[in-house]
Amino acid sequence: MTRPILQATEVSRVYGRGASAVVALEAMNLSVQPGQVVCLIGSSGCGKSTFLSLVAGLDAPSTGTLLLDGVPLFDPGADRGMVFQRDALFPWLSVRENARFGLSLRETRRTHGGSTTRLQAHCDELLQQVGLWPFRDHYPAQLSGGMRQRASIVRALATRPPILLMDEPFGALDAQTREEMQLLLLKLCAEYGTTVIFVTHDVEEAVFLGDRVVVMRPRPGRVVADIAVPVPRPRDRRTKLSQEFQAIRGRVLDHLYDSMTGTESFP
Amino acid sequence: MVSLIQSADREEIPVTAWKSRALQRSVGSAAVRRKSLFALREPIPRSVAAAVTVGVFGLLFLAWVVLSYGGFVRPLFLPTPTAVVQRAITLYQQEILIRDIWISNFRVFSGFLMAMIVAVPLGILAGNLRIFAAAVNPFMGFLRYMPVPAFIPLLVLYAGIDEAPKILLIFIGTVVQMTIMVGDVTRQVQADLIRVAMVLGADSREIFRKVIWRGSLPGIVDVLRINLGFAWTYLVVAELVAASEGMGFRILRSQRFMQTDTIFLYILLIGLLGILFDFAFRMVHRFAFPWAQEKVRR
Repeated sequence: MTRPILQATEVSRVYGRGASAVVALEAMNLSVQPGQVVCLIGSSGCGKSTFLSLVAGLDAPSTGTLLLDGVPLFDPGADRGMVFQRDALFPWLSVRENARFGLSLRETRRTHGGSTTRLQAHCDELLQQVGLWPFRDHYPAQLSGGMRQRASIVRALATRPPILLMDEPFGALDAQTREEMQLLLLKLCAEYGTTVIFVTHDVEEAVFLGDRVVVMRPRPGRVVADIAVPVPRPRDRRTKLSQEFQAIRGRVLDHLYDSMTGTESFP
Repeated sequence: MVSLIQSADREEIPVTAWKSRALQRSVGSAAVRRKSLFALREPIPRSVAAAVTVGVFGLLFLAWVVLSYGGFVRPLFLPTPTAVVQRAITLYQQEILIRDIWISNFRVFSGFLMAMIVAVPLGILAGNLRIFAAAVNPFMGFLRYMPVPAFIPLLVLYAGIDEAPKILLIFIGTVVQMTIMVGDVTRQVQADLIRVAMVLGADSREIFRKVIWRGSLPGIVDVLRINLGFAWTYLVVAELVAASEGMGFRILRSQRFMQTDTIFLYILLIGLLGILFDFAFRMVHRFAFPWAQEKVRR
């Protein structure tokens, strides 16, 4: 095994203090290999989004350590891309300007030096790949939900981050668009070898995308199962119909429902 | 289960019947799809909107014409349109009218621009940095309820009786509201956009410049538009201070000579200027921020 790109050791996040303290995430351990797609799944309040913002550097853990490629992480940075549930495109920038936003920043210029032109070309290439090239001069408000989410994926990948963090990115899309986006994401990740941490509450989506599905449980938020998905790649629509896929889906569901009954006990 | 299917079947019949009837109607007349003019938040035809707008002005003017020419109201209370126009011509010939308009615009815009220079940066800082919010917001709340005319004696004492106290009064009248409103507008920039910028590697200054500033600019232009109106409403108060010309001054002076027509003329002129400036701001908004227009949305 190579060195994990992401290593979380006993990471916790507690909001508030004293009697009103809420444990959003309790002693989470997770080790992610480069190129892996790890899906975090669980009902709301299980800490999956909390963990993601910790990795993004938008929030700091109360205890524990997070290593990104062996280095402790603190602030947000261009070495991680992030896609939110709501696309969060800048409404005043065109699709292309949005995609290039990261490239226009000082940090990117510092780390990539003279190769920003190459990154810009790469960014245009990505836009073509996701079918947004004809819409490059449109404003986000002129696009459909699926197109907007594609644009924000391009924006996140444009700086060539080794790791992509996705917080229920397809949750607001209709079923068909959603499936298209899943296939697109698999294609892009395979091509660029990007590591993905994908938060979702959709079991089928988690199993379809993931090399691993990490099932989490609320109050306090913690991991209850880490299930490998040995379904071969490339995966396509028919993958979801295979027995193997359905068996894993069943296991994830078992863990989810198991964890649900576990929390519904009242004193 | 069976009953469910049956009920779904039964639903099917009236729906198609309704559809075919609608279809027949649409073939029969072109007006089928037209929505009511009173549908909540629905657009209405442009021509109707324009007609209503012009109609309101027209009706008011008509009422004025009937009441004044008809002799229903004495000229002292309501001058005729002719008298007002004649007064405008006289004052123009005496080179008073243009001078009054110019000097009042100068005062309003000087005070307004000063307020803008202070309020926009202060509002942006107060809206986004808690330390500035702590410094600015309670203080503005403290100032906000103070009656602006009450500052006149102090302003005369500190700034004399030239242009300075008049401009300062308009400044005081607008700066507080403007700061508060700009702060509100910048706070409305979505937190997700700021987070996205952070994750992409933007530092604080880049976030201010590329996200908060760009995102709140249309809102700030709107705030300026509204506050220019406030600035004009303080004009008469400002020209209470030892003025010898200006639109507000002329109105006050006409009161002494019972020149109702002059008062009407200047009030109407201020209204017209207001429409003009409002329109100018709206045009700036439309052409500078195409992305923020309603029509861009699907």
